[in-house]
Amino acid sequence: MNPHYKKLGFKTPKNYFQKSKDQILATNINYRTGKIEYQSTFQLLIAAVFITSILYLNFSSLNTESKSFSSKSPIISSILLNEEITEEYIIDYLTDKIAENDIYIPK
Amino acid sequence: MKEGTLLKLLKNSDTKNEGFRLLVDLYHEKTYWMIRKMILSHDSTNDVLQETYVRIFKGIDNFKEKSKLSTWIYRIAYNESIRFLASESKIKKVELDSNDDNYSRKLYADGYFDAENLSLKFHQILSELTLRQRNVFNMKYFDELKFNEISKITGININTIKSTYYLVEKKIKKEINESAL
Repeated sequence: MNPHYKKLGFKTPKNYFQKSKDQILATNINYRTGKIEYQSTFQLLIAAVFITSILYLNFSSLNTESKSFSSKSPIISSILLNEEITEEYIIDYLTDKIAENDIYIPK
Repeated sequence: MKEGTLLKLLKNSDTKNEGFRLLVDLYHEKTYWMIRKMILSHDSTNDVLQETYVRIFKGIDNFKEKSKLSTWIYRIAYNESIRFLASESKIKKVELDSNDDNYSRKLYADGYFDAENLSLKFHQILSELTLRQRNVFNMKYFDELKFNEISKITGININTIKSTYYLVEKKIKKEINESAL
């Protein structure tokens, strides 16, 4: 390099080149090696969270189905409303169910 | 150290870090001055320099050896500097054929600029050049690069580089002679 560039008046802080060199090496060599490990750990963690959340959602929906009940059911509503179960009530309930689900019930 | 030996170290994953250390030793300071003459401010030059070496470290595996290693390094530094200048002026593409109106402002705003050693006349002439002219002149005169290297670094045709350099050299000589009278 032509030494005349020094006459341009550009200066650098004291020990700049050594510090800058160290910074470049630290950034690229040490940090990047560590980053690869960090990324793979991070990716594993994300994968684990993803799988766990899928499993949780599946099981929770299964549980909801098994625990759910129809409050229109004559037995349930009789408990809730303290009403007697009558034949009419059951017939009404079944009629509603047929209309809702289009299920054929043999007579 | 021969470039071929350095490349062998860099291309081998077991010796890449050692090769990179040697590369930084060899080219770090020269790259800094090349960027500094384009960017002017020390702090910004340091940022661009760091980014340049991140790109070199990442890209060395894909270096096809179509040019000298040093030319490839300076090309990355040049591109990073142009990218910085574009972001600084908030435009997508730097206009190489226009003057930098902020040349003097940037120079004097920098804390690492020694006005006592300043060749005022020289900087005044440089500030009147277009970015393309200034880059070509700096690379040829101060960095002592060959015309074909400058062409590969900047992507400008070699004949344009030559004519630009001789035009600028003539202008500088004329202005310095006139000021000496």
